[in-house]
Amino acid sequence: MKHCWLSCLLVCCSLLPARAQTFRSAFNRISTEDGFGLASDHILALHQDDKGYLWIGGANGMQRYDGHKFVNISTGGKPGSEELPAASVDRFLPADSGRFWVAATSYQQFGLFDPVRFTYRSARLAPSAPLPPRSEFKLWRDSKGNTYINVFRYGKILRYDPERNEFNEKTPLNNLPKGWKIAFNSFEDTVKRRYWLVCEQGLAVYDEASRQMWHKGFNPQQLPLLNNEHIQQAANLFFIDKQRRHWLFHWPGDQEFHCFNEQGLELTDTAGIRSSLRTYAELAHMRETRNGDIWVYGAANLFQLSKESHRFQFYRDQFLDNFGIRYEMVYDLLEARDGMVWIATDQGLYYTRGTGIQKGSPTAINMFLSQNPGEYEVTDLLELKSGDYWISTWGKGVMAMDRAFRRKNAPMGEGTVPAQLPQAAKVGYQQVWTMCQQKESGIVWLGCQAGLLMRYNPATGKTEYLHPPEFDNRTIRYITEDSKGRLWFGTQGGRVIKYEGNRFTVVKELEKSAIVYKVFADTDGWIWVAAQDRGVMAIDPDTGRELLHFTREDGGMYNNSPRDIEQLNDSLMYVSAEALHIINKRRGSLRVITTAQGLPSNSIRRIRMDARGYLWIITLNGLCRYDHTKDRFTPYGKKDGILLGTVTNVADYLCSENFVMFVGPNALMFFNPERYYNNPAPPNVTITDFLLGNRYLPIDSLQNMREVRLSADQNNFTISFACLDFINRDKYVYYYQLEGLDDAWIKADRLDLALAGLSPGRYTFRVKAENIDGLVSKEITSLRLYIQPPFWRTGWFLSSMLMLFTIIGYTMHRMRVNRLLAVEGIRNRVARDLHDDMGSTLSTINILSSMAKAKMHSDEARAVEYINKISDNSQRMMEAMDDIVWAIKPANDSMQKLVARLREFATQVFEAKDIDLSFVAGDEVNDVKLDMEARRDFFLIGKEAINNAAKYAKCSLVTIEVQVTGRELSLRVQDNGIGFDPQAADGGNGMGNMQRRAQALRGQLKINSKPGAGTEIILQVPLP
Amino acid sequence: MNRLLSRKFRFLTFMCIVLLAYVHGYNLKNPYLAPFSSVKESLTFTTFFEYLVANGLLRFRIPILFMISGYLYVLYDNQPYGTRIAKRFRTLLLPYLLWSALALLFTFLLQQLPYTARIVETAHIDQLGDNRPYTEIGWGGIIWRWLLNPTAYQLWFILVLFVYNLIYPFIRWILLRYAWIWLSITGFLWFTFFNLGFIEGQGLFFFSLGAWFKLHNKSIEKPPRWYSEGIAWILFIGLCVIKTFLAFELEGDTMPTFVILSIIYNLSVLCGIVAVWYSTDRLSALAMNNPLFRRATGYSFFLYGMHIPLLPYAMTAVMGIGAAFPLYRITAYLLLPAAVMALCLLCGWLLKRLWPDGYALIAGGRGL
Repeated sequence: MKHCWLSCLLVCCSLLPARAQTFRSAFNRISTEDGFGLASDHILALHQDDKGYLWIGGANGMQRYDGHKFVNISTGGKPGSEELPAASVDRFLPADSGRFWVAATSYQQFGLFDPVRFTYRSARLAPSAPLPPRSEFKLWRDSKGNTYINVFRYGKILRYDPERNEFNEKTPLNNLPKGWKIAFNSFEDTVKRRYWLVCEQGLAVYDEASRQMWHKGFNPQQLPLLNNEHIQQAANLFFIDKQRRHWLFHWPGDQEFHCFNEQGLELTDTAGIRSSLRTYAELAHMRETRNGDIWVYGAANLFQLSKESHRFQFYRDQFLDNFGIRYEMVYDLLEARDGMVWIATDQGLYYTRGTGIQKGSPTAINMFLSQNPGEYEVTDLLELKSGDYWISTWGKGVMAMDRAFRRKNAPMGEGTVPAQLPQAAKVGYQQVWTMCQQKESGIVWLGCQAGLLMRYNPATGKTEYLHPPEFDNRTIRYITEDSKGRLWFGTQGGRVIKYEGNRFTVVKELEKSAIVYKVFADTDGWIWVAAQDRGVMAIDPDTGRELLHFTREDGGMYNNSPRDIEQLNDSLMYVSAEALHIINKRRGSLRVITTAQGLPSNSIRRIRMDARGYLWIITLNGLCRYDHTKDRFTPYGKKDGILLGTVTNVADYLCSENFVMFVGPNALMFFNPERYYNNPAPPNVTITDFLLGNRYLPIDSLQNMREVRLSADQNNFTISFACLDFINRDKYVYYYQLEGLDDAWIKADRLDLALAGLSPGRYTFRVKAENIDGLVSKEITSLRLYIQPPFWRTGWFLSSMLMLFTIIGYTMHRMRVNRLLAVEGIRNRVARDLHDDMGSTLSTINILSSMAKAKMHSDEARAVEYINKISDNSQRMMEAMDDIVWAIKPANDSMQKLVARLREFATQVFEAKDIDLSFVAGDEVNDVKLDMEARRDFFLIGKEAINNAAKYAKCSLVTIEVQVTGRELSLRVQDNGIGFDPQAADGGNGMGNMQRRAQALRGQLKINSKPGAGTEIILQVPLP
Repeated sequence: MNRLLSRKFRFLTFMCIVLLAYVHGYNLKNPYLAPFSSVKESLTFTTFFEYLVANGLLRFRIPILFMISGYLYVLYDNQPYGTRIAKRFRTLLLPYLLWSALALLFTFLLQQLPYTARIVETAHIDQLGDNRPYTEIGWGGIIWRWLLNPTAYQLWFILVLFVYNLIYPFIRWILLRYAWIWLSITGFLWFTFFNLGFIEGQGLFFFSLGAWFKLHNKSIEKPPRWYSEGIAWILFIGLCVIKTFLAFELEGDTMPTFVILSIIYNLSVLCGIVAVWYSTDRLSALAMNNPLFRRATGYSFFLYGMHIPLLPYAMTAVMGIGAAFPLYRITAYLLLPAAVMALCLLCGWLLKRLWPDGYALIAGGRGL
């Protein structure tokens, strides 16, 4: 009940006399010139998708709008997708799974668009007969999810068949009477489960329950409208609203407008339509918003019928001002989820929230006091105990209005000054500057020009005209009452005057030029004075002693001419002096708040604190609210129903029930702060764009990914974000966090975050919104990013390299160790050979020497024999030594040297025995690489074979061949001697050594010999 | 089989089972570890270390256990098939059913208290993905879990091993005649992560490989001439490190990532098997000479059977409690598996001491 009277008030406002003008809806326009990217001003269709994006169909195809910019959409090149219509998208319609229909009826093209995947698939029209020329199409959907197209002039309804992906005529809605043709409009009555079909021949109703088609010739339920043949003539629009009003527009000649109740009784709710139309118009579409407002639109018309009103409000302007709407055609109208109404016209895209009634309670009233600009120079306002509003003016006395803002006569209105007063006084008493009603007595004091004062007693209706000398003939600029019932006056001449019921006392006198703009009595009884060029001061009410005084020079005020004063609590005072000042009277401190701290403009004109402690501020930029607890300013403008915030900058008043009123030259603004208190939590923030370099990436696809992976050079990008709440998005404070770079939540200055030169790594971008009440989005929106390092800086590459180098290092280490082991092996071998060959032979020589020495005198022959043995042994030792040294010597590290040595040895041996030698060595042998051990073994095997041939074969010819065959090195030593039986041979040391050396060479030693047939020794060594 | 080889088998079996706890103790946000799993967390020391250990360095265990099983199974070729299967029923299937039932019972008891029930639900270890209380799942679901999808999910190894024992005559036959064909096929199945119920590549290939070594009297004690211990370890650790980095850096759940991680994983497992097998002679000799350690190895099977679901539930509880502490994840990962294994060891010791028959039953007659 609290706002019942205010609701009534607003109803009455619609009936205000023509002299005053209220605004019911203010329209904001977006056009191609605004730089948001709108492709065409010719807007044909509107749709809001599940995420909240607004989709615009127009002459240049379709676009998406996120509240910040329009984005062109392309579906070409995507798998399973067709290209969207490039022009004249004139209808959207919701479909299932978040998709929606996109129609370009002039091309007879209808298709389903998926706004997440950006895919489009057209559907075929499959009428049973060719469509006639000038066929017109109306796409609509019923509550069961069926999608239909009314084909005007063809006369039938096509229904979408998802399985065939076509529109065909298989629907009972086509069971019309013979000869009837469907027209453009149909309506589903979900309450009664009926389809109202507007046909060229009249109305038809398909009843789902009975599956019957009713019409004027068959009306079993006796539906009144079907019995009313007149209204069925050339019907073009049928609509049933939530109040069950049946709206029907038709063209018997001119267009007629009817509204019936359920029983067929005609209502007067069409009031305002006919009278508003001064040109040809076609009212073709009707839409009801969630709050019960009805909008009618079409060619040259746009009407609104609010739920409480019974009269249509017409909107159309020739010249655009800040609030108007201009069009020739209104094509579509959409109520967004946030309550904003979007209007598609041929001259741009408009949106409005309405300034009147929202869900039954008033938001704001914006009115001009007169249609003549500047007619009323408003100076002050007052709400009387009676509920009337008084607005004082300079030159026209006081204007009075009742609670419904209806003008009424004021006791000191224009021309009410008694005639007997002097002419100067008559003029002065019409120049009212300030008003104040005493709380207890109800007496109204009015301060006027030249120190004139009126005292009006509402109880008796009498007015006293005073001219106290204490005012020194200077204009009275402000009157207020303190808690003790004393009145305080401020004058243009710099005086602060107290009135205690019987006399006026000058309490404070400033310089004569120091206008006292405001006198404020705080809860402690201090009197605060705001004076031109003298700052703000608090004075003792009894002595006039200054308790506090702040100026620009002494105290740090922003400006020395404060205009307004308010009190927040027993400590803090608000003072406006272009900037906002907060004075702590206990501490004597001052804090200045300017645009740097979020104040919309350093040009405060009025401040007024409401019952909850929010400070409402009028600056030259308009209205804003200051929340001291959060130290936050929230601007309010057209979207919020505040239209005259920049004009109503002269006076303010906190009215009953916490309503706030501001007035200015010829203007008044009255609003309920409660409407701005209970703000729902912001919707989740949507990441609207991802701009990589100069290329927009499809953000919906990115958000479906676990993380956005970017290459190392793709580290310059911009992330745009916003709440898809077109009303409040500018009031939200956005905070973002880029985990990986900085874990702190940072307040966003703008709705995008540009990042440049981001280092490779993983980042998580998070963003949330907070409304003015501190409520935060339900979920934090996040986007994971991974900027891949160049491959040479990746962990896997570095570890691969590390592993590779470790393997190489380890291998080199192993090779070195192996080489050392090989050298050690050689040294061991040489040592062993020296020990085995030299050591034993030297021992033998030593023994033989001793024996020879012992026998030298006793048995000379034995001694000679011993000496011969010594000689042989030493000879052999020399040869062995020679072999060892030869093998070790690096200069001999080739097969060429080995072959030469073998040849030399064979020649020496066989020449001594007079045996012919045939030595053949292939050239390829020189290329063979054998290590030192192998060469030595190879040589000693050959040497042994040569020795054997020379010693035992008794041959005349020995053939030696050294060849390379394939991957095999072979040595063949063949003689033509007496031969032997290898099986019977005892295999002495020589043969055994040869076999062992062959094994060491991993080769094969073959001995082919028979008694009398010579001997052939073959050594085959595999080459590495 | 000589004594050294026997001690080595015992040592490795015990170590593989103990280290199993460090695979099952993995506590990153996505605890499911497939060879080709990528990590959906930032690269930190904790995440890197846990992934490296659990999905890299310790992945040689199951192949080695299968190889040891295959090798040992051939040793009893002289026994009739029926006798061997009857024995395997007692040593494998019966403990499987008992441990599976105990895990179900333990989980059911935890589901009776709100706090512990939440732990069970959060641990999310049900193999059918249905973590509702068993009272809601019903008897059908419980029996299904008991027989085929045990809550103690590590028991799949026993079930699969039993199946391979069942079909061992065929494996033996084909290994004796067409060894390379069979090993190639099963090797391919292993490399491609083929898994069709009880027939899965990993177990079949390494079980067959173990059996093949023994059937063909291949020496497994001395490394081949080409073997380089240093290179094997470098490759093993290096591949595990590379794979861990890739798991963080590659885009998850894509085919190229799957292929790359799988290949590196399999190569690292091969290197790990070779490196660990030929490098543990001295260590196994040293450890097995310690009487306490030798006694502990007798509880290998008990540890294996008991540590799940104890460890995941304990880890879940600790994760819930410890989130406020710094380094809680890595600390829990390092300490909790060891603590759980110690607890299992203590339980095994007590059971064996207090109720030897029961211990024998549940341990399949091992460690007596």
